Amino acid sequence: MPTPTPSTTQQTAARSDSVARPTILFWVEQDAYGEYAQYAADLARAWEPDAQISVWLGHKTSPCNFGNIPTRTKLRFQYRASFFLARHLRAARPDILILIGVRAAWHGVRIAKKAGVKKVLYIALSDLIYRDRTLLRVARNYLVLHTILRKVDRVVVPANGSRYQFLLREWIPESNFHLLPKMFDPDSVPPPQTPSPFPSRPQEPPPTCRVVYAGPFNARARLDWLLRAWAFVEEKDLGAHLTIVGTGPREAELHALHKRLALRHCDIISPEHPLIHYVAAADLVAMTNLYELHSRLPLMAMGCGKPFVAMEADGIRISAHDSGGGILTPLSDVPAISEALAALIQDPAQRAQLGASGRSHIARFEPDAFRHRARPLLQSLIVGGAAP
Amino acid sequence: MSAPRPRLTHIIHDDGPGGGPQSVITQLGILTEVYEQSVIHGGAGRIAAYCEKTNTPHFRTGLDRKRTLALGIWQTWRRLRKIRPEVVILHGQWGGFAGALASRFARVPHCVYIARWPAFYSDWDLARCIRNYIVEKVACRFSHKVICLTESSRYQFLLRHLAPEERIGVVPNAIPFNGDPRPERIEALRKQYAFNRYSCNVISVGRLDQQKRNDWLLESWRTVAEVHPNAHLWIVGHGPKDAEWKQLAGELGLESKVTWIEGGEFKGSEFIAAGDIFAHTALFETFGNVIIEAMLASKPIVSTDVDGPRSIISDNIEGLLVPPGDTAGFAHALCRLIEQPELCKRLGAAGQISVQNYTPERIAPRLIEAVSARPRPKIAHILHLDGPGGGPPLVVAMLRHLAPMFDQSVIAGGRGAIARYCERYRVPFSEIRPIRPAKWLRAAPALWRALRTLKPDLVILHGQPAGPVGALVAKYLNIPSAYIAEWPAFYTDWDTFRIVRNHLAEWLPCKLAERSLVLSEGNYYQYLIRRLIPEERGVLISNAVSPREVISEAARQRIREKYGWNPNDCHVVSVGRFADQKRVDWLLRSWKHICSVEPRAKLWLVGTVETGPEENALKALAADLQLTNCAFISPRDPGPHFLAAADIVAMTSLYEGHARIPLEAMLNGRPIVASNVDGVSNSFTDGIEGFLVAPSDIERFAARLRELIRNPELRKQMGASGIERAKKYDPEIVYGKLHITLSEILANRP
Repeated sequence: MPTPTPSTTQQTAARSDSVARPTILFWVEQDAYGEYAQYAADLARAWEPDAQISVWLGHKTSPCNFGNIPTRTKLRFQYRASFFLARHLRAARPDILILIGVRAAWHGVRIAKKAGVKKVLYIALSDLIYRDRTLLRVARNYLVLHTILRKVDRVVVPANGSRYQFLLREWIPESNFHLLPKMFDPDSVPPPQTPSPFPSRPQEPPPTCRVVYAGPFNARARLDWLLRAWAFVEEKDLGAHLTIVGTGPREAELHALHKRLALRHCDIISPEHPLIHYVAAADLVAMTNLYELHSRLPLMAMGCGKPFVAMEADGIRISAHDSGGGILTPLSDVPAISEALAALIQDPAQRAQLGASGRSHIARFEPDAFRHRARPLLQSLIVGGAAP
Repeated sequence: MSAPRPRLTHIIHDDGPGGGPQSVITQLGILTEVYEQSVIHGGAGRIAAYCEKTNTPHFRTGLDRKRTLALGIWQTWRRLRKIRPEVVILHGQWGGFAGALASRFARVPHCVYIARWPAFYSDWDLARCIRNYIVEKVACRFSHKVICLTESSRYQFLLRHLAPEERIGVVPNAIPFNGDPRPERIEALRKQYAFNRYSCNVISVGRLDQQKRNDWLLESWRTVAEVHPNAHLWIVGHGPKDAEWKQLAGELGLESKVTWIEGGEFKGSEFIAAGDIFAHTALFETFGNVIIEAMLASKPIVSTDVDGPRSIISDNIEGLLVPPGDTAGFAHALCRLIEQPELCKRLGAAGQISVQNYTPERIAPRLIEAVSARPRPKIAHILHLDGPGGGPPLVVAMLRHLAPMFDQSVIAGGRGAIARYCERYRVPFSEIRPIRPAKWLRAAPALWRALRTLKPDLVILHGQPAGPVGALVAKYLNIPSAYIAEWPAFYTDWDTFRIVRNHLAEWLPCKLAERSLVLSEGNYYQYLIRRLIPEERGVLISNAVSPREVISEAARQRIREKYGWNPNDCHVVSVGRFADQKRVDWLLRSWKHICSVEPRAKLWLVGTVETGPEENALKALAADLQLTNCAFISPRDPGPHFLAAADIVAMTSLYEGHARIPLEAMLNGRPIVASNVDGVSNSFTDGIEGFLVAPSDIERFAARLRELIRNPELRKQMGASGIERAKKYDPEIVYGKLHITLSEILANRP
């Protein structure tokens, strides 16, 4: 989305207020899918009128629209760099330090207070809390997260699911948590005349229903469930086509499973356009994630007025329950998700109804709503007290 | 005299307060018909009293205290050594950990862990995180099944990868509806506590401990009390947080707005029934029996949206769900219910309907199934090639039909439709090199290895190349077998070598297998005259087509559009491999008589290139005959789609095991013209569902085709008769006989 450039008068006014405005430094770790930087950019832009903001980004972070906010990208979040980071931090001496990413937070909390930072906020976008799979990880995750949470003044969580996981563990007082869902930018929806992003297949008739998953191919996406469910849908011969768009570490496994299941109406492609273009061109969105911090895919589906089918998982449940824009099935129940997909494929009227319902609820995630939720958080950080 | 029931032992670490022991008692009641039960428990409470009352053997151990836990494990082990149960049910985390270890040492064959109190809900510090992980991991690792009480609890197990997902199931608690609480008791309670003084009585029932988070309720109630000063909150229960929360109520100025009830003559369920609204602010529940009690009493519920309640109630259906810790939201939900009696009524009525899902009658089959230790018989299917043709669909149909009764696996050469089915339905599939008719003995080592790994109780040998070698290996491994004569070898007795080879290939499986199943009367007759199958061991079944295989109109239309079929033309379709056996040359020669006189008729020969050695020869023949309106298709689309899209189905095979093509054509309402040969002749009646023509009678075949091409009414009529006839080949009917045969073999095995 093109960020509106502040007018000269606004800039002058902003400069004159700069003494009263707190300085905020975002310290953003790089992540594989650019989610951290995206969230930081949304939050920074929401706070820009009330604070002086600067951003430190991990060196491999995907480019994001920070507007006029100054960003630096030379930092590496390694242990050996802590000394240099501390020096930079002392020089910057922000009033508020925002930490995004576990490694950034791990180093940041240890050096922030020494560098004279008054308030530290941690944005819990990492899925570490969901990865207690072995004894070593249990201990490591506890030590890392507990250290971070204990030393920060506020923790922002993007969805009720992850907030609940933290609440269960009772590591910090619940009043320190602030719920701030991700933002959906309505300008990112492609106009209706945008050409279809799907590869054309002239030798095949167009599908009766185009089903799409667009997102990372990682362990938590559990696309094996989706492919297995799709095998059952294909057996019903409904003329629908599934397109899985994305990249990730599980790509080779997915292709192998696709081959073993001999799916005829399903393809796995790498994205050549923004993911939302695929969602906008779809008739139905499907996802089988085991968990998400706050998945963007249902937001994209709702924003484009498309229905979605997903499983009852953290980070997804809230989007479906509150919007009525999709159908949720029990977790890991492959026949149930194939039934839900088949039902929606055969029922365009229900698809349209769910899509309209989702679209009418997307305003809750649009920039105005995001700013409305984000500004009280900033106020609480400035004046202290419990999270709003 | 009835057979002795299998022994089952329950292990529970603490027979103390709370809803857990009550649920164990209900389960004891459900399982008593099926098992000879005993209980090993720590502490002594309601379970011990129940066992005394019902003469159920029960043993107290030191599992209820940390200091005596090791002693408790040893006592449990000793007790299990004496009881020698077939099944052990481990209730809850410590019962799970200690019981799993003791059961392992005592070599109990089947262990089921009911995750009644999962430990990970108290991962509050590093020591607990590590301890809880070990406790749950041990219980899950040593148990054959993990049963959660709710979907949300199962989700937590899945997130932590504590057990493979297929081993984690859900069986909710059963709540016996025995008429409690009685109306007179409720009336007495209301009178004693003067419930009428207040405009609305909100009830909360549960132990006052950290998990129940009554502090959230009190904070919410401050807001509610400001808006509705005449509403009253009753907190029923006691526990370690008693004093702290009473103090909090005082600090919030709620002394006169909240009444604390500890014990007394009335039960929690009676308070719930006497109140107007049930409020529940737990941080988590592994099930939440009190919510069921509230639903049973038709009370509207306001609960936190947490593990347990979220799986029992749906927001705005049986109650209102509020995010945990959102005290303002909780207060708002309570105010909504206080202000809207109609909403209360609606939620209460919906709750009373939903609660029927938790009756012991509904839960009992699920619990018995989940606890059952009896493994299903294992069957291995052996097939020479999972390739094209009608064989693999037949095997898939059998796999599908036998799935509810048996644990199946497949050993086959190559990968095709069967491998796809196995991948989709997670049936073990062992790929071997394709078994060749002349070199079947070479497959013996691979089959031997596969069967040694799979350890089946019965082997099904599909067709002749797999038949002889499979029968030999199965006999060697002492595994009973059944031979399904799908591709009788004797139809290719073309020379002396083949006669000898084919006879051996058929004689071995027929001799060694316990039963030989033949697919058509024509084939059976051939076996009988060759004296290959003793009459008492031969079983006649047939191929099957299921109504679910009917091709949709959309799919038919897609085929017509894709291949440019003009709806005004008459499309004759032949589907099958281009092989000798199919004698497509007869069809081409017949077409010579038609194409010149029926310009609106089109012939489509659908076959696969990779398996059709005859394709080029046939194309040359078509060119020689100067056929018009005739096309060869080697498509990616499935054959049945072409049959369904056609107007007439033609088939000129010389012989068949039992052809699927006529069955699929009839199922989709299409008339057939086919050669009157073994494997086809009994599939339909000449003149009713189609026409049967003597093999190689080309003129007659052409005449019959022409008759159908010219008479759309007759096509329609025969198609309708075909749909009726296809019902005879429903798998439920056809494979019922197969199931009986397999069960007999299994029953008679040594």
